[in-house]
Amino acid sequence: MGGGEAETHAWQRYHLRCYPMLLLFIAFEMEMMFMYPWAVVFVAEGGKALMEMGMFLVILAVGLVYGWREGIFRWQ
Amino acid sequence: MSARRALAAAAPVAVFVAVGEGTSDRVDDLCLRAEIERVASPRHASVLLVAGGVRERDVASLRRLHDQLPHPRATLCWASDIPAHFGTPRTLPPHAAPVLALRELYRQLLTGEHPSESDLLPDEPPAPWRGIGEYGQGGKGMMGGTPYGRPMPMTDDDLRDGLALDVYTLRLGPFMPTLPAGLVLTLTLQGDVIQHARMESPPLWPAPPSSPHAAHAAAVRQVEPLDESSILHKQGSSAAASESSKLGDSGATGSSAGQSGQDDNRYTPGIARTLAHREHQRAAQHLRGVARMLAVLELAPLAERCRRMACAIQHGDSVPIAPLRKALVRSGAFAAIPAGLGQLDPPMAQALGGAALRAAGDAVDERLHDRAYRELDFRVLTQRDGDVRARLHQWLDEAEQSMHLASRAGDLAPAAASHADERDVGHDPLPADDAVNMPAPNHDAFATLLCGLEWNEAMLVINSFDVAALRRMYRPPKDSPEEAGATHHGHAM
Amino acid sequence: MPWLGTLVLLGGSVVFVAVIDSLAFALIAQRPPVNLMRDALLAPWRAVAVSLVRQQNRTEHPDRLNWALAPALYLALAGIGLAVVPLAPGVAVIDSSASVVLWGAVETLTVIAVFLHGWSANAPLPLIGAYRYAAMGLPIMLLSMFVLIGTALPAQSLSVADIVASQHDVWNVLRQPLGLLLFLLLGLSLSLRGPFDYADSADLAGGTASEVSGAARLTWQLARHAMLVAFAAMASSAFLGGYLGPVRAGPWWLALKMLVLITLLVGAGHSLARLPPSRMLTVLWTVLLPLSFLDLALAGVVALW
Repeated sequence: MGGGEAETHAWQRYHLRCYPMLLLFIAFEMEMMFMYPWAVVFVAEGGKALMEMGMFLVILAVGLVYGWREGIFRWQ
Repeated sequence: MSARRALAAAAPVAVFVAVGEGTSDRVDDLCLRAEIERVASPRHASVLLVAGGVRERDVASLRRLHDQLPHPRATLCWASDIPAHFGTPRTLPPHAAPVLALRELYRQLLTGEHPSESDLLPDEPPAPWRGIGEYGQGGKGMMGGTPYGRPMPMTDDDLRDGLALDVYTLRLGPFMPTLPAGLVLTLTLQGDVIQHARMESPPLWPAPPSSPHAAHAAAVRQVEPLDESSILHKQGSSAAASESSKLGDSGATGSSAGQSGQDDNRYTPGIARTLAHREHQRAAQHLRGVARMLAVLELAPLAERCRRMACAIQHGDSVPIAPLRKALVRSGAFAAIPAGLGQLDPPMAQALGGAALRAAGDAVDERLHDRAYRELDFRVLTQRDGDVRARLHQWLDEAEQSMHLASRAGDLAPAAASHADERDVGHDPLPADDAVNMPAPNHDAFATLLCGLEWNEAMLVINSFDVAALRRMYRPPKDSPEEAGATHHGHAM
Repeated sequence: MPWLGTLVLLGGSVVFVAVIDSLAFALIAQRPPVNLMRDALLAPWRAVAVSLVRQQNRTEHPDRLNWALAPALYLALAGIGLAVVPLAPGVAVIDSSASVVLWGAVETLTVIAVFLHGWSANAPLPLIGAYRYAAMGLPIMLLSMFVLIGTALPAQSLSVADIVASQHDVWNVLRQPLGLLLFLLLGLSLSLRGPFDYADSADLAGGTASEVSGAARLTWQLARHAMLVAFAAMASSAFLGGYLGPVRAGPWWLALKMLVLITLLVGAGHSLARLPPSRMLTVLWTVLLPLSFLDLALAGVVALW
């Protein structure tokens, strides 16, 4: 710190500013889990599979837009 | 010497620089050399370079810093007296070439000829563990009490969202590479957002006083006069640079002027300074400010390029600035800075003056009153917004304007250097004129600017002001007298 | 012997990364061209020697186990990441039918390794770097996995070997150009470079690496370079056809593509500005993530054609 000194330990209940964003991240992470087997059978299943994953993404995208409006990406 | 050490000796010397009074520019030019690697943390350094006079109140921090260097370590004091209780480091007079001395010191460290310096401070925690109970427990509580060892942080409300989590107070020292040299801040953080900020010590001037009048005043203040660069006229620049490069160290130097020749300065009082020279100094100072901002934006090679240009300009070369601006635009430097960050409201801008005021839209410039500038059709440049991005634009615009003026000026001499002008160019003005003709800020401008900002944004804001503006924001604590003269002795450079 | 080939590839590429790093820095900083190449070629060896000569330091009350563990974990993850990449048809250290999933795990655990490195030192600046990186690294990982799943669609398999094999007629970069662009951002983030360097950044005076010196710092730097190498191998395999080439398929094509990507990423790391965290977070979630959805949709449509 350029010669400065700290008074307390650095370990603290750190204010993690992106916490609400991480909740949304977990939702998308679970979607990613579903995408793994979906990718393997995609070509065999055809357009139906595309529609279904599209619906899944749209539902999550609604959550994304809601979070954006609520300001979870703003480093609160 | 083993092969490993021989290989290490061939590497660039990892130096951490503790910058003192009036030496920031020269240190920047020194670190452009390929043989020196300026590191951001003392843990990555082998040599501690103490350049210039260190303030009395900063000596304790310097000792702490010294102990943070890993072994093998050594200290070199350049143009500085050895600070109190600092052991016996090697010293170097101001006019000597530090590059050779640093390399020699490093080589001797590795071969063992120079012993690694021992700790200056005792290696003990401030409140050592003294067990009382059966299991060694003791003290009066970890949270909010006076425990043995170090306490943990306590909670407090947050500015942005009201959660009450831990606050962390840290003191960023005078030798922090991200901040201007000499600036000491106390920040209270929650996470990485600043809740309170206070400037404990103002930053030091980056360049030595250049007018004989200011030098005499500095001498009166018990600081010996500092040298001025010997390169004055544009015409004589390349000749003088190549001459002094022969006098300087014999290491491999590039053919471009401005690489060497820095080391051979003489103090030459009373030389008339032309308008071209002064505009070159101004452009160089602005470019150094731009370089500091680029470093915060993680554009380190562009920052080095900027400093290289500043060094060349300071020695009288006429370097075009347009390619640098194009490089900045392409790298997204302007786009990366949020709009409206660090915005100055009009009374604060009035109080700061200089480039910050012009970036906020006020066409106020000392040079308008000068006949020589009027002959050259000088026009004041301003920006609209007064935020960080505007100040960056202002620096680049003014640097370009200065180069343009200098190229047309020839041998024109302006009127006597005004103090405000001296300050804007980074030189130390007379102490009494620090507050000349400007209303003092009536509130804590610094705290207002930084409060609620996240770390990266705060670093951008701090580095968007030049040293003169930061010093204007400093409010000394009410009980202690202004320590204008309490500088540790610095040698003539 | 795939592991021997992988080790050789790793070692050689790490040296290349170090050399290109110092060369790119010197070129962009416009250093005078005296001894430029020689300094760049010798730079990694000199840096290693310097680190080994230097003593390892201690902070006041660090978490010693995790401090030692973090660089080792980071290096191990880089090794695993490179191990899933096939060097030649049927030649890979880890030949699993779900190696893309393994790569995803590597990405996520990298965030943990970097976080541990910053947290263990018990100092404020590394701690801020660690938390900041976690906030940026996780969304980047998300969109990179969407992009990788896009490359798995035409291959109908989650195995990297199958993905490479599926590119025998046309490379994925031509079918999914947006995918490679987005994936390259991950490379910058995984190796803590340039615009995504929120952990070891200059505004934190070195961030998580500011309190380490000596052999520990050497391991950390090595791990960063190794992670870039592993990423380049993965990107070459997923988008540029890996070991496939016009004349004779083999590891030399993979190495060539890796070197191109490494040069590109090192150059980008040195010449792009870093956004403040809040802006970057917004851009990641509102611009880049929807782009990755678009890429996935396009990949799906093209695969069905």
